[in-house]
Amino acid sequence: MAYVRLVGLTKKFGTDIIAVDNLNLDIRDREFVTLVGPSGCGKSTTLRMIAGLERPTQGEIYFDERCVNDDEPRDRDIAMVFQSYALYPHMNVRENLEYGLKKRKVPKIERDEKVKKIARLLEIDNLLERKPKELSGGQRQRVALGRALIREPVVFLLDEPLSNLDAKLRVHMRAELIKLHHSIQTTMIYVTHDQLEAMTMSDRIVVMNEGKIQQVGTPKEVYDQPANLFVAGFIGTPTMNFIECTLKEDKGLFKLDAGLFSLNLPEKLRKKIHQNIFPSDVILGIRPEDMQISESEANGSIPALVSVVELVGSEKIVFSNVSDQTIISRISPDRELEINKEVYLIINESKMHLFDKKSGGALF
Amino acid sequence: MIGYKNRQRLLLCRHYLLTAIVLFIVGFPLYWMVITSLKPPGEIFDVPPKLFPAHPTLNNYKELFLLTDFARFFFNSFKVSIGTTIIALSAATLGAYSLTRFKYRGREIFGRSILLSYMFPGALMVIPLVVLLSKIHLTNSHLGLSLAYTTFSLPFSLWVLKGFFSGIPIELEEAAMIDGSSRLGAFFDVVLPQALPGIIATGIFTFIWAWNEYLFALILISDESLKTLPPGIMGFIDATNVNWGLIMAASVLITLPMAIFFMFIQKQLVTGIGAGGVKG
Repeated sequence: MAYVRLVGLTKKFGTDIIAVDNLNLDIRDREFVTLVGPSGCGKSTTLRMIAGLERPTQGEIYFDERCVNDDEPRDRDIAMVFQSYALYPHMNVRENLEYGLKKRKVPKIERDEKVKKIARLLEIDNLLERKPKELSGGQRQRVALGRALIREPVVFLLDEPLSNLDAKLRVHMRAELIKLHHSIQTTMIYVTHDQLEAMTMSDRIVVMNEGKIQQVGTPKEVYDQPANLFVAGFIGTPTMNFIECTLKEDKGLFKLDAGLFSLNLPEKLRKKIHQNIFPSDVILGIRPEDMQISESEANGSIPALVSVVELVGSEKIVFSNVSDQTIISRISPDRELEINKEVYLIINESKMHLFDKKSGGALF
Repeated sequence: MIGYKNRQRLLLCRHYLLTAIVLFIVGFPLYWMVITSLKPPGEIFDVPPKLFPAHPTLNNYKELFLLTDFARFFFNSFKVSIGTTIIALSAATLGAYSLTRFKYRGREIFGRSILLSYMFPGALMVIPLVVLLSKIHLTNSHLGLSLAYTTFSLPFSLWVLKGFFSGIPIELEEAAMIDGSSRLGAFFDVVLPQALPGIIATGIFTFIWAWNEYLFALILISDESLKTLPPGIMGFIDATNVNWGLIMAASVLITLPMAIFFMFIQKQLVTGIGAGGVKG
């Protein structure tokens, strides 16, 4: 068990490419933290630096109070599950599982005990004599997990371990990983580009983009209070709707003007803005579930034309056109809406987000 | 109008006929070599030539072992070939690992120009090699000969193994290093086993090449007791007399081990050269 601290962590490739830019992060002992972001955002590079597979250009990595920058991977007492599982092809499952123990000179009796225990836990005890190529994707993944678990490391690193699984198995394994984390109580650092995985499994999420941390918070914090445009657009599916507006103050009232519609900011939000100097060019963000569709006009409603209706099963996703923009909303699966029907979109004002158009930062 | 089935049969016949012709062209000299080795001196130049010895004899083989240094030459060849294979494979595996895993200036260019060394014919390389080896006092020695042979085997071995190593995912070594292995440990535990077909293929190639080599062995080795088979056998030809029976018997014994070895390993060889060649 260990807490992991990253201080000013930077990784440059050559002179031009800054993969990780001055990262500062505290990961608590036994926490499940996910680094999430699009391809190329630096999450895998960060994980590899924690593992010792890449040397930082600058900055330090601490496990508890110890700086591990100069430690080889084998001396860091970590375990890693790779996206491709990286099982040793010429060894059978048993040999794969006990490789790490052999390297640390664990006596045979103890090794056999541990292999038996882990194999039973992960339900791979009938596969011990098979080679990796004789296993299915899900079985390989469990062997990869077993190989990491058997070492009882202080930090568990997982690099997109579910990416190669089919959708159904992925959902099942997500739950299994959550259960596993509860039972082994070890710090887990998870990397994924799938924000759904991040949301469902983590104690805290670290959203990254272009080598920098965009926001660190619990799944709820990151979903309900995104710190900037990037986080707002990355977390949540279908993605948040963004509408460009101007913000003006008029006799103590704040008016949002988006051309096709305008509304006054509700009391709660008004109070939050009043503390700061606010920009006039803003972007209004509203999640699809906070955008109602009405068939009759109302105060502050936005006229729109229904363009696509997707039945997901548990709900319907509606794409509507507002001048040249597409707005997404969610409705009940039993409601009928024809294409090209004229409707009115109503924003749930208490769930509005406002972002500075220039900097992308959230106003509140 | 020839039907489909008949056309297939004709093609098959043609296929077998061509195969038989090639087999004859390649196989007949070998056959002749074997039967000549079993003929007494009188029969060898008989006209018309006999396709089967009238009085087969093992006399040539007896003379080979009792009257000549054949056994010693055989042992020397074996020693030099094994030595060359060990040196070349050690250098080639580590070199190929370096070319595919580390980054340094000139790596790309070196990797691509490995095979250019074969543009220089052996005869051109002999003199500089002799000068080099004499400077480190390794002429007229088996070690020196093995090193000389390595210069010819190494580029090919490097090239084939480079192809193999670049196809081995680096995550395997990373997993091994995280599991507790050093980099060299990961090399032995994970990388080498994966590249085994390539290692076997290049090992066989190196061994056979060293086994059959004549020019370097002739020039570098002057001691009769250190001679390998090819120059050793040529010693059976002197100014006045060519003992063909003896030479053929020696040839059979030089070829036989390789042929048997090849028979058992050919599957590995094809996999090795083929698979390694896919990745650049």
